Amino acid sequence: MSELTYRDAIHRALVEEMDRDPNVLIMGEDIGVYEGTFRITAGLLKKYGANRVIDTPIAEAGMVGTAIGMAMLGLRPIVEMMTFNFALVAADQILNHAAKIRYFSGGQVDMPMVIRGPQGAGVQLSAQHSQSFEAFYGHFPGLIVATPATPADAKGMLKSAIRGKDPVIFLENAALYGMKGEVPDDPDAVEPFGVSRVVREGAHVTIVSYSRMLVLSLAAAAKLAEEGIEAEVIDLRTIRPLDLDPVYQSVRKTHRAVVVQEQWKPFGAAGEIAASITETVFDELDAPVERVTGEDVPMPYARNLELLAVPHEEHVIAAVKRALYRD
Amino acid sequence: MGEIIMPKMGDAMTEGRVVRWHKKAGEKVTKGEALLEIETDKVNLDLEAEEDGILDNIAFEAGAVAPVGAVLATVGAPGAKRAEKPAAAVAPAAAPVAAAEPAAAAKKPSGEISVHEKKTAEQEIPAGVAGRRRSSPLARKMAAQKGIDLALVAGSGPGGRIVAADVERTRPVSRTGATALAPAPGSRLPVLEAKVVPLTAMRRTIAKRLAESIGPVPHFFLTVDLDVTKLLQQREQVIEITGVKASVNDFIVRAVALALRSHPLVNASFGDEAITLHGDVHIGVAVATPEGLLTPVIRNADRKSVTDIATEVRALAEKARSRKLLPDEYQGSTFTISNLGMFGVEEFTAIINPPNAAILAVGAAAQRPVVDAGQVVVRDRMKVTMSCDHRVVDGAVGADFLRTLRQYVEQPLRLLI
Repeated sequence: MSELTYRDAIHRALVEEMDRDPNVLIMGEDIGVYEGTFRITAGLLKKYGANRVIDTPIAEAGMVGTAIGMAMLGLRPIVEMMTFNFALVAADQILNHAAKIRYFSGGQVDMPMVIRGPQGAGVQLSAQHSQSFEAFYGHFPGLIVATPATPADAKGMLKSAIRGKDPVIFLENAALYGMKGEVPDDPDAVEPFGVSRVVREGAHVTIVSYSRMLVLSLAAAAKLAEEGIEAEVIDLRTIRPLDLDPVYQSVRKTHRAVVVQEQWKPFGAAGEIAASITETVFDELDAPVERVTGEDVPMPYARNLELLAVPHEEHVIAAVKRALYRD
Repeated sequence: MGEIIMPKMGDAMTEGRVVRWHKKAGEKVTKGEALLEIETDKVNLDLEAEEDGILDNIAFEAGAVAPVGAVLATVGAPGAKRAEKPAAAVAPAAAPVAAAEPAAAAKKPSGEISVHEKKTAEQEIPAGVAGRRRSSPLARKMAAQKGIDLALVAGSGPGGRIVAADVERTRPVSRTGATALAPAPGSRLPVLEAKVVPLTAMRRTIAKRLAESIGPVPHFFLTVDLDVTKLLQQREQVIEITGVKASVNDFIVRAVALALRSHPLVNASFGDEAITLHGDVHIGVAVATPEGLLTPVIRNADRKSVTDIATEVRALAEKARSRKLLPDEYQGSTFTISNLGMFGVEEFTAIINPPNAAILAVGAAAQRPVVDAGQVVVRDRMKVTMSCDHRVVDGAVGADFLRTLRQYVEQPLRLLI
């Protein structure tokens, strides 16, 4: 084990996989000579050369389309989106082609490609550059949507993404890049998709989240413990496939659930999860499933308004208390 | 400084229970704001502030029982303190009704309090489901497992929602004992818990009034077996023509009301100095609710049609079950009818509802063989038993009333003209 940042864990995964398999290559804007806006690809051009570390024009649809062709013919391309907001330009390539080619070909053609990059609110990135897309991509069959919250998961899940045969939307969070954590050194330690994890045990309420909201939820759980409220915190890790069995199991114990997501409430991941809980363990619920979400507005640029638009620890605490009838 | 006083919500009310305070002592309140909820013997109400000020001097905490007229708290200017303790604290716990009433009136300064029907979210539910108790899925599951009737559980969640903690606090108790079928002999019978169920204000009132009745009131009972074949046929026609689902009991209410017009002594009350012949015919109809018996009153039932009675009984019964009945909807009956026919009870005797002079206990209508002109024929029959207060109603008076009642019931066209 080594203590790595989330950024270095992703970097390490890229290096290990490019060493392991010459078919792995990466392309994106400013990832070679400039070494990446978030320095994820630092040193890669020098190490692997311009055939495997490709600086592209600002043309996301072209990047993804090219990667789809490569993947169909057996390469394992990784496309870096400078932020996932830019991938909207490539939505047709991702949703209508990458997600569907195996299906269209009757299972004859795999799609071993990864589209990775940061998403979510940062500091004054404004309305176009602060969005979260897990619910958007999670809607479409044919995609895998990964939302790692820890350096270990970032490394292990990215390796699974690169080695797999499905198109993976790998959603990093820019605010987590500096976060440190223990990461396995074993180059063959991979993390599977569709396996949620209980990261804190508790008997009173179940908090469900993923990505950066997990950090928030754990901080809230620590504060709640000071008041004698023991929250069980579950990290979903992937939004598609979505493993809710540990959530149902937890709700059978706690009888209350709070789902935390960063972005807008309508039609969000929290709504899907809350509905699934209600469908599956209705008789176990002692309170409506609570949702903690961002405000239903385009992200403001002004810092004071931006802070009001995203969920904070105290929102999670308040939702937990509502679920416990203690507000 | 205004005083919040336990109001008198009916002739029989001597005390009320503070259910919960919506406001805390020292809190600022504004005119019209609900201050607390009280439970009287029949209904729960919110008491509202009628002036702005600071709530103070809370003399009765949630759960405490206060006599009518007691000062529950005060609303005054910030910082103002009452010189003496609220009068309630020293008022006798069981102040006689007569004494308490003027006290309440005297202590009630110009509109310090007003009593409104409790406005909860529950009331906004459409009429058809007004009696539904809100509960969490888990609470329902737990109640089913423990054999707890949710109607007996007080909900502590938003809008009175019953949550798991409320069910946990409640121990299983069966009110009817008959609703759950006992396991077959030889099966492993569950051990039944012993328990103490605290008296609600309503149950206390029922007990007091019924004991008062059977004690000083010399009851005697008269039973007649009525032929309701025609009445049942006519009921079908009435439903077909009007679309109003009038019950057999609605016809009986109408028949009793008309019969009472001819027998003023049965429509009467015994008093220490005099017997009151009421003239007006107001029929109390016993309604079973989860908390106990209520008798909403159909006023001037002798001047209402069967379908009007049916509609009114339905509305009042629904209000009774959801504890929304107002005092003037359950007080002032001159005669009461209790019907256990729907439970398959063939005949029974009822206890008079004071100050009524009589009550009619109605059994189930059923097909029975009877001898008619030397032939055994099958007829629809129904037994009714009248309990009479012998101080007012002598045997012959009661029997004469029942003869008239038989005419109305067995010649039901009379009920429609």
